[in-house]
Amino acid sequence: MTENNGLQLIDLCKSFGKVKAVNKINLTILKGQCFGLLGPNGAGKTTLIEMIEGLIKPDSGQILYLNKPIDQNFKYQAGIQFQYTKLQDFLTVKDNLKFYQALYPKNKPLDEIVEICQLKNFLHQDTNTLSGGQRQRLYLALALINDPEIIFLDEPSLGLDPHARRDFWQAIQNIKNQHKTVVLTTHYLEEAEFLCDEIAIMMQGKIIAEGSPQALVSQHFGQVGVSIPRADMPSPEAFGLMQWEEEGDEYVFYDNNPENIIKKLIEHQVSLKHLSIQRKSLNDVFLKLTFDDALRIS
Amino acid sequence: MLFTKQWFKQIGAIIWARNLEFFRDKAALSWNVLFPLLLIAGIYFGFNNDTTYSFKAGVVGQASDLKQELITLPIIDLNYIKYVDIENEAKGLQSLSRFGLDILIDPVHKEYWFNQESKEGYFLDKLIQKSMAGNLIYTRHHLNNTPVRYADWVWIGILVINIMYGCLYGIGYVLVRYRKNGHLKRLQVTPITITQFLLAQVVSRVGIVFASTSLVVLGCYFLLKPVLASHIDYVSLALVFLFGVLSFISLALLLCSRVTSEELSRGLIELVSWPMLICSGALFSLEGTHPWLLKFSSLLPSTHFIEASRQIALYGASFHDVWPNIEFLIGSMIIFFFIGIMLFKWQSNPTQS
Repeated sequence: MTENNGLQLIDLCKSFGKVKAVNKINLTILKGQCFGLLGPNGAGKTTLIEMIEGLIKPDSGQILYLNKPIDQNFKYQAGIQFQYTKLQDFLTVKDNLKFYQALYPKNKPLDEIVEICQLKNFLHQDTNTLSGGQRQRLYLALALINDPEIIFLDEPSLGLDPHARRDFWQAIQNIKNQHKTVVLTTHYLEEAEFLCDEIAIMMQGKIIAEGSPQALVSQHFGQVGVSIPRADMPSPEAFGLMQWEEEGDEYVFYDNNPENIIKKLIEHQVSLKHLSIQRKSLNDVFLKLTFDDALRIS
Repeated sequence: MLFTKQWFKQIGAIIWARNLEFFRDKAALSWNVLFPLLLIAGIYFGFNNDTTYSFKAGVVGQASDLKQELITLPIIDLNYIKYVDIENEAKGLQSLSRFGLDILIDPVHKEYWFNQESKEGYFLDKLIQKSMAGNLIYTRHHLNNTPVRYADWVWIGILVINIMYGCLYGIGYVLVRYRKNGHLKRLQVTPITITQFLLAQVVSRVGIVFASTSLVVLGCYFLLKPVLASHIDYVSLALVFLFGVLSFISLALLLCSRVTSEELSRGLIELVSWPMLICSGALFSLEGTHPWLLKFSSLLPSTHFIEASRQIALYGASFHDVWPNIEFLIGSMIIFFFIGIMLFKWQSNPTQS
């Protein structure tokens, strides 16, 4: 038990019939951390999150918040943005904020929420007429209404255009700056890489990888790739033991140090005019892990 | 944390939001007020020109035992006359005044009464007189007090049926919609409890129904000028209204406590609303119908709501007279509400994802 523990999941299980949606999950999310939960559809992310939120009862296991089992008080400490929920019809943005504000004894000032979530320009607009990005920002505002210590964001930027997504990320960054704990589930790996301090990748109800985005990339793709168009060089077999593979119209060479590859290429008088360095991302880690796991399972 | 300031504040917030939603929905609001007005006006004019010929004759005593006495009346052999046993003269006269009967016959004392405002009664009276051509051995009476016309009698029934629909759909359908679109799920993660949420829905709907019914009643009063009792016990009428509405609302909560499909909720609501529409004496009197139907009718909240409202508004009944009806409405409300709370679910079964 450490003072820094925010949320702790211990041997958490949930089955629907014969399907084990969540299978003995153990996880610790530290206070003030932005934690990303990733995984393909049906991996069990929403089930896991909804168990923490108190919407689904676990079959077994324990959920601790600040080292104590969660209870009714958790509702006052948590803010939740759901993936699919609708607000009451015919209410404006301000009506909704006031309504949800009245449900909690402790609130964040409306002006502050409006500022963080950039709602000022459509405060008096009917919620049914909001754009996707505006609606998501309103949902985020509702999640912040009780000034929560921990915030759950379920696919918060789903369906947003790139500009709206960037704006939304900025709003989440603002929340992070206030040292709130954020638990984010997303399909956008770029989003997780940009926002999250730690991530876990789920597959078939289990966590198959966990760590910071950078650590996971280094762990799974330690070597840097250098690519050269095939037309610019002879067969790389003549290069000796260097690791390489064909990717479309290019050869990609791998080494812990890209300088070694470039030296070899110069030695063999290969033109470096179209050379490019390939940096692996969280997206590649996700694809590799979920693909490997899917293969193993099938 | 029951009954604290915050507890009431939370309920108040839900009521406020629900009322805003209702009153800003102009189409639904107009429908709630216009529809019953149109319905009552339609029935008022339509039924007053009714061209069907069917007669209901009340017989003081047992009609089957009094065939010999009845044979002296010329209408006895006519088709389309139904003879109804009436316990005593007073009950028969009350029924005659509210169009439950077209004619009341006392074969033992050789008397009959008819309601001059009823064309069926008028027709039967004329038929008897013409047929007997001055040899009538029955004494003829017509109702002395200002008779209640059918339109005066039926509009209360229509109003209650409209309240019933307003409550069943206004609560049941809204709950299902909230559950289906995730609004309830959103509320589930707030500190709101099921009891608070449902109480708020009840209070909000009582207010809405009271406002819309007041408008309709005022409209009916000034447009149709119905005959009402000279002394109306408004407190008893308000209690009947309150507990009648609460009973309907609680029934809606029970029906839609865990339904997630709008189709199913509509089916369930119709399953209970049709019997209440037909079997609670809203549009026509149930006097003379099968005893089982009467028994069934007495189990419906709408029957007690309508009966008590009519007794107070048309015949000047007191609280004591309608207490059995109020008692039934309170009982049904409590049963429906608590089973509704026990069965209530914020959301449909969770999906695995």
